[in-house]
Amino acid sequence: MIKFHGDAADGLGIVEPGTDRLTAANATSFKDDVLGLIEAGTSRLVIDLSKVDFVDSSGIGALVGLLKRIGHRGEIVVSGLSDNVSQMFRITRMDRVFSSYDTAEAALRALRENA
Amino acid sequence: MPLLSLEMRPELSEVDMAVTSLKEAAGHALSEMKLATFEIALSEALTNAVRHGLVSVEGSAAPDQPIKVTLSDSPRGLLIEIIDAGAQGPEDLYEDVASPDAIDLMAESGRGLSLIRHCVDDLTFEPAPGHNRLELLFHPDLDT
Repeated sequence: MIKFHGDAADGLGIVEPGTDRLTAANATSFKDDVLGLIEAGTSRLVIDLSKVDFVDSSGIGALVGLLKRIGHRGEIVVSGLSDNVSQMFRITRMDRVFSSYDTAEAALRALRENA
Repeated sequence: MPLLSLEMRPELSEVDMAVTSLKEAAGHALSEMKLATFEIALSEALTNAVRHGLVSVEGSAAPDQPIKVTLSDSPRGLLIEIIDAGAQGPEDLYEDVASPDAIDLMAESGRGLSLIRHCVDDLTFEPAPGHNRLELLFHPDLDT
């Protein structure tokens, strides 16, 4: 389901959920797919939500689970949040947990600069 | 006045389609920001109904019992009624629910009830043997 654009050399990558709604129907498979990337060595990830119109509490839980799994070994940031998704992030205070960027490219640049 | 009534199978894969249909039907009556909170509350409530509706009164799976959802216009605002055929829920399910601010930021679950409470203007939960009825009210003119 997910789409991944990555660079194995520096462990950096962009993940697109590959769905317009990240919800209870697909949050577990999304999380498992991204965990596979983390296990394979991608430690700094941009979750690009620019094509996602809605995230529910299960989607939020999946993102938090990924952040906890990667821990201090890496970093996860988000990009491309729509007004709808931004509101969910504000209500659940995820705006305090995840650094957010307008575009995946800007997020990738920031991750590279932080390295 | 009913605006839309639908029945859905108690499966998570059914929730998104139902939410999209109901959001479209409610769109004329709510501001853009209010519609966003309507979508959050409705999605969480239907997901809960699916998860809890999968267990019948006898404790066995009851996947054939549909969840009935009705969207209505009322003098108080937009009403969503959700009736599942699951085991009777606790009377106080929606009482003393923590606000989203009070939930551990790093929790991976447990936000659903909090989001429903936070995103609606009023809520009635009526559990009964063999079914649970949840009514959510959204004032059209008040943004949360």
